[in-house]
Amino acid sequence: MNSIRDTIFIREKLGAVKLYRSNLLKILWAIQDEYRHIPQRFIRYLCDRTELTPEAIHSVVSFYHFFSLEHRGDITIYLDTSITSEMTGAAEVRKAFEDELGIKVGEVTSDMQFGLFETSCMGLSDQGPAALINHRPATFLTAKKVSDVIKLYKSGSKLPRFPKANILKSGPIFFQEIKAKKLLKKLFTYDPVDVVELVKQSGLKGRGGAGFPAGIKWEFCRNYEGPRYLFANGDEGEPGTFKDRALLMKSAKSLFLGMIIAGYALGAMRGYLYLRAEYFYMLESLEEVLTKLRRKGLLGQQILGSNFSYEISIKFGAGAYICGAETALIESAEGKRGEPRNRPPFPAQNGYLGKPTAVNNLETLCNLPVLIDKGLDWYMQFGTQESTGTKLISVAGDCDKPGVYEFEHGVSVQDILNIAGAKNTRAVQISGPAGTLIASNEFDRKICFEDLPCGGAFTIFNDDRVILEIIKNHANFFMEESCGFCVPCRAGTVLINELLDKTLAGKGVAKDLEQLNEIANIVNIASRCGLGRTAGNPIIQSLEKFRDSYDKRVSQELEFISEFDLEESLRKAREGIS
Amino acid sequence: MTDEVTITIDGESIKVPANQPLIATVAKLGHYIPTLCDYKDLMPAGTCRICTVKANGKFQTACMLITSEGLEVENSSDEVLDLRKSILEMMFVEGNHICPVCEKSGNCDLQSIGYRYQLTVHKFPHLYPKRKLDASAPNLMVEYNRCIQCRRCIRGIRDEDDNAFFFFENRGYNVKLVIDPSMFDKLTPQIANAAAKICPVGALMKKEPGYQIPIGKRHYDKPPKLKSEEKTHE
Repeated sequence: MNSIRDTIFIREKLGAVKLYRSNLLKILWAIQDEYRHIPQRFIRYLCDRTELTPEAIHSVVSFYHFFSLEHRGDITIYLDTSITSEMTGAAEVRKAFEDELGIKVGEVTSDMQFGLFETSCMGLSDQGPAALINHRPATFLTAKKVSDVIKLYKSGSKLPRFPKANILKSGPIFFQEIKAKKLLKKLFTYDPVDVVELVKQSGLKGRGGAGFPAGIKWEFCRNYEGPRYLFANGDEGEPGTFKDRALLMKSAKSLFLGMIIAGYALGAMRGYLYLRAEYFYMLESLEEVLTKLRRKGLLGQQILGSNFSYEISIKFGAGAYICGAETALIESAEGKRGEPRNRPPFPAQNGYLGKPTAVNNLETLCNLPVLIDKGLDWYMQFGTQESTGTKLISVAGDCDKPGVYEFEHGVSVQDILNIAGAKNTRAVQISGPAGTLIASNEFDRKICFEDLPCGGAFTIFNDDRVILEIIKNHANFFMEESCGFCVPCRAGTVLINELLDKTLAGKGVAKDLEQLNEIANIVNIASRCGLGRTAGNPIIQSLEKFRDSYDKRVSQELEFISEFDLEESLRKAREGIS
Repeated sequence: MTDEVTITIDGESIKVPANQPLIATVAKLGHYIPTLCDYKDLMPAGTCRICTVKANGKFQTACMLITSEGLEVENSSDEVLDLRKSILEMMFVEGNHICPVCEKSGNCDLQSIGYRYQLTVHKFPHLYPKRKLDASAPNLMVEYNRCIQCRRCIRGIRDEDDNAFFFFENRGYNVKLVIDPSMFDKLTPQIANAAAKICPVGALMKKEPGYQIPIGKRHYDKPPKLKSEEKTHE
């Protein structure tokens, strides 16, 4: 360390963070934000003070999208590549940024002021085309607005911190006023096992999409000796999902109370909120809510005079969809590459730092305060037999009113389309690319665990949309976000993209479609984790439901069309001659 | 004393010790399940997926499966074999595996399984990635064209303090094996030998010797063994 800047940075920023492996992502973020990259001298600094080697740190840095060994510009712009951004004009916005800055995506201006990059869905699908500029959201972008934004940053100003929360319909469960002290007093009249029992009886299932009963998860976890940990999974990365954004912005207190309730039920000493980096604009406001709770004695030692001591802190993601998978999230929280673990052992037995750990979706946890407050009978009046309660839906795409809606479980797809003002709808992607693509003959299906489980995303496509382009966007997403650990997902997602490109270029034959289907099935059957095992879904489902979109693009007569283009191959040589 | 359980493999009922990894357990009884990433006593990783079987109706990798009473394993049905062939093909097309010019030819597990499953012409498109060779480390070089990212070297090659020599960088299709430069001093010829040996393909090659064993005398050059004589962990 040589410069004064380094010395001050270390004293003021790094000095406050303990140099544990489990803090590695937090430390790397501090460095990335200050220096716009991870300088080698800081890698050496960390190695001198920990047991890590430089290569061990490189391997982590290179896994996460937002960390870089090369300078990303003082003002780093990440363009959203999700389908909803593409549908609302991301191509023009991309070009406007490139023209305005005189660089291409992936480059930094020569004065290092601006860097332009792309990233997967950032939880702003209702406000696209979107971008993140030094952690702040730029929404509803147009070519004109791009120019204004650049001027704004050149003048030293910043965009507003928050996007619109955009809650268009709230119901009985979420976004409620809660009297925290009264609630926790009531909580402590229960025995922890009674809370587990209550949640089991309520039928509350995981809201991330998989639908595992929350109470049973805790019960498993309680079977193992502590210390136990609770994680709130705030890595909402499934393209088209942004309901956690609304909860974090407008309902942070409920979330933290839910984490206290879950922690109490689990017998945990500590709860962590794993926050995706795309939501860092909420970090300060979340910390403020935590500080208030601490000040009121609702966090810390012997809360409200009970025997329950509990702290909550925030863990940082750094741009990896895979970290939404619970074992990958735990690896990431330990400061490692976010690669899912092999199971068993399950996190309930061997989770964070090898201890029993429960990972719950944010939305699941936000159910707990009202459940405790208003009781089982009140809670169970909502929803269906197997899907109690309500569901937050992130409605986006082709409709008049994209935003966050709270619906009772059992609501039909058609009802949601009507309320959101969707017309001439051709298809809806439920739960994002990993979920279910449904066609118009299925719009009477219901959002609930018995029929169509929904992780939150509800993305609408009308008759003018080209299904194959949507599928290509989703296939690309899986290729970008595959961790690369196992063969079928790593190679299969690339092969799928190759064949889709070929089909979109008009060079496909009927046999290619059979092969696409075959590869997608292999990816789904043979991959190691949940990401891989759903990465084939877009292909399999679209081939089944929208076969005509493929058939009209491939030759039915020819068995082979050469991808070799003589003119194109000779072009460079010819240009060289002339 | 270990408990015995009865499992069936391709309809044949056999008694095996309980709670043991399926792949090694049935190999001892002459049932061949191919593997590329599983190796002797290393913790199973499940990277290659080539040992996928259908167990109790579900596709699972045999390296991760634990023997238990009543386990029904499908190991040689057409469905399982077709799946394995396809996974194997994926490995071939995602890298650049040019057997005729590879020093490991005849000693290569990937090639051997390729022969076993009679891979001739690939149905999937070749990706022909541009990959370089890295010879910056002492005694050992990395031929990236051949690496199948099995992680045997990451798990198996460590110094006396259990520090790893090998790491992965990047993610997805860009995942890349790297030898930790800070471990170069410890990368002795013995370690390099062990690394080249643990590598199932020709990605980790000891520097200098090249084609030491002549063609015709290599491990898989021998006439094919009967299935029942096959050992999986060699």
